[in-house]
Amino acid sequence: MHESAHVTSIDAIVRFGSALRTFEDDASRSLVALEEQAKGALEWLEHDAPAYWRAQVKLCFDHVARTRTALETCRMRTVAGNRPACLEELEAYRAAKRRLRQAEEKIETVRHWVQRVRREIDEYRGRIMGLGRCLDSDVPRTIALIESTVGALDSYIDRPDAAEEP
Amino acid sequence: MRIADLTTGACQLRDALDALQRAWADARESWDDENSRNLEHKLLRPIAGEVSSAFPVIHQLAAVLVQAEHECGPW
Repeated sequence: MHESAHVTSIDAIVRFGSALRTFEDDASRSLVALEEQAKGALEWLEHDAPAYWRAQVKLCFDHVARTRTALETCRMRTVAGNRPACLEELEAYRAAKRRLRQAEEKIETVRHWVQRVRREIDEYRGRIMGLGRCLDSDVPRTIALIESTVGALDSYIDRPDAAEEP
Repeated sequence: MRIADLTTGACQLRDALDALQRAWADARESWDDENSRNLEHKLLRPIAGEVSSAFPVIHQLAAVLVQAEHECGPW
């Protein structure tokens, strides 16, 4: 047998129904915001970061070519019959090659992080799926139940003989 | 530059749950029967559990994104 309803304030239930609706909206919005941020980050990793590093590789490659030319030009010079050491030019050439290598490595690094971030986003999505289901079905169903409960309680109170019942 | 801000969404989620729990505490003072207990057991506690279990994974994702940005960002 069901126990009878024990409600001392219908307004309190109405207020809770309203709070539940607010929760549904706010929590859904926060999940959308989190999803957008995650997608944006992945977009940056999949497109912006590789494009940036490809452009850097090209720039670095040009710089290596320029410093190599400068080094060769220096080495062809003779000063008072001697070949200059061209230490500055040599160091600039080596630095340019180092920078090119770093930029090339970054392309591989980005590729690695794309995979890692995809896995983490999948993990996140899997974990919040239950909350999403709650917000999509359980919460609206409960809101409807609260509304029907409030309606039933209102109808009960409106009965002419309700006040006489113990 | 930040490639993602997960803190705002996580805070919004926490605030939403806090507000719901406050509202429920108020409602419980005037509503104590089988329906209210069912609601608490079948909806509110699972929601609180789902939200709580979402935070570690949100923080984990946020940390990974910070690291990704550090590793893959410009010079």
